[in-house]
Amino acid sequence: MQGSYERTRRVIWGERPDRPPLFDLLMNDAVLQHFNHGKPVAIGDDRTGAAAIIRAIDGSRAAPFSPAEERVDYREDGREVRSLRWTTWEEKRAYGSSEEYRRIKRQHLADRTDPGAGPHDTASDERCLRQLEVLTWLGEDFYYLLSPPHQNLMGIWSEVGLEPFSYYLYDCEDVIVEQLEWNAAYACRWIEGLPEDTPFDCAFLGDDIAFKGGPMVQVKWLGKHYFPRLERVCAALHAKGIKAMYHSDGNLNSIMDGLVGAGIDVLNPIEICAGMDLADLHRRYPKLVYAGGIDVSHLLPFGTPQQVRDAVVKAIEDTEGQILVGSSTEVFDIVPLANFLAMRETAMAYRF
Amino acid sequence: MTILDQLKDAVISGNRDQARTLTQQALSEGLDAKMIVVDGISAAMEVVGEKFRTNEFFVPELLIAQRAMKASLKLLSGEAVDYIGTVVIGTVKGDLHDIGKNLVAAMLEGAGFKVVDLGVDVSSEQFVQAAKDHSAHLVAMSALLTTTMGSMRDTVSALSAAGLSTKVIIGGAPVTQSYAEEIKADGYAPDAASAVSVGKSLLHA
Repeated sequence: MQGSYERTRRVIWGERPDRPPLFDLLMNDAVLQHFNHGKPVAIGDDRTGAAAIIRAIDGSRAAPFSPAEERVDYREDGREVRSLRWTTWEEKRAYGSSEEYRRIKRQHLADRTDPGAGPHDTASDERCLRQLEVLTWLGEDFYYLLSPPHQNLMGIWSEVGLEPFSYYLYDCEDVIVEQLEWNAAYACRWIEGLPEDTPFDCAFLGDDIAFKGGPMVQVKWLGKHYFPRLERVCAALHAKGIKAMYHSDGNLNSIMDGLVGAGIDVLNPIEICAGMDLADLHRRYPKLVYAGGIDVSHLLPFGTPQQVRDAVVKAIEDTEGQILVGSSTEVFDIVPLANFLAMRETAMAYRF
Repeated sequence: MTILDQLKDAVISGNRDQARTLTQQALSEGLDAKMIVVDGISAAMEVVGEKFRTNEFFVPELLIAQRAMKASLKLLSGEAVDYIGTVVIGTVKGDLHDIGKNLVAAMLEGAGFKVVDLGVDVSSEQFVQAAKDHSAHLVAMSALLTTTMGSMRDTVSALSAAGLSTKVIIGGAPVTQSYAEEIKADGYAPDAASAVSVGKSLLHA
């Protein structure tokens, strides 16, 4: 039998594994307890949580490994940050007007290091060091994705909220585009600065840009401003021998050509409830690999274990095995242990 | 092109300043506020909703049209306007997402509903109390998380237990028609634009 790392790597790199790998985020107390020898994972105990996750699945990406203490904190500017057990809410930053947004953002961009000024010392970068540290907890046989900076449209809109973002997009589109450009240029330098012996061979680019109904913004706008920058980030990764796993929730059907054209190698999480269909996607993009695809809006929380098993087999067969089996976002607390185990055991028992 | 046609175009294109100017001009020319709302603003938002439904408009276009609409409505706030009905709207308890709720509120307001926005993290008790306080015809609930959807069922029950005849519309990412039927909600809106037609049909408006 192959190990978790080899099995997952094979699928991402277009090869056949011994069985479909499992790739997910486990934000579920019952699941972690089950894989922690029946003991709950304590608040903040990431190492114990990581050990449980290694036993449960084959691969994952940057996410909490243990529940957090529920609390409310405040940023220096007074904005509230609410930590819930498995997620965090941050109050949006408010600007007085579009003119103020433009002025402040232009100043921020000017104050930052010029992204074009020489190579980036990524090996000493806090973001890189943290991920390497996590890798030591997870061990060599777990497939863990690099989380580099990227074009980050989600960061731009989520800082202020979608409503103000929409106003700024209308009133000062140039500043939105300048931020996107800065993000992409910095990301490329950061990736180019990775050491040659970097242990990662796939990167996670998480950028929520769609809803149930489709993309948040005009497809033609994405074509003009977003996909070219995503393409540069993917190219920088590929030049380092690293595959690109792209993540966005929502219905991506109308922008799949743009995403695939930009060079993504793996698509995550495939939100079934939003109208993403694995069979249709695989037919349209036969070289793309999928990570996720087992509905967590209804099936995993409320379905029967048999329905979950059937969905897993269908997902594997609809993609001809080009899939890392997992939930369509994350396995949160409402998913019963029995259903997670049904998903897991079905993938583990499947043979091509 | 009449002044109301120009106002309609200004709202559709999200031109807030022009919407404001044209509304002021319409009022100064003696046009009735109700006519400005119906033939200018609501007509515009109906076009916006249709363009959103057909993916010609996306969220930003809808929101800037809403911004222009609000600028126009603000100038009419002292005028007598007949509302189709009153809607109490909110995101359910435990859920802090507001964009879906805001989009629906905008569309309903543009269509001529009086909208009472309770915000996010709204309990069943708060929905019921607001429905009573405002004699609401409709309660509209949004949920983006499967984990919070359950409180929609609680609110439907609470409204019934309170003896209110308020109709309930639900929507949000994990919400489906079958879930609406399961919890005995009166209507399901898959997106902001359809919330208007669902709301109107429930009130036979």
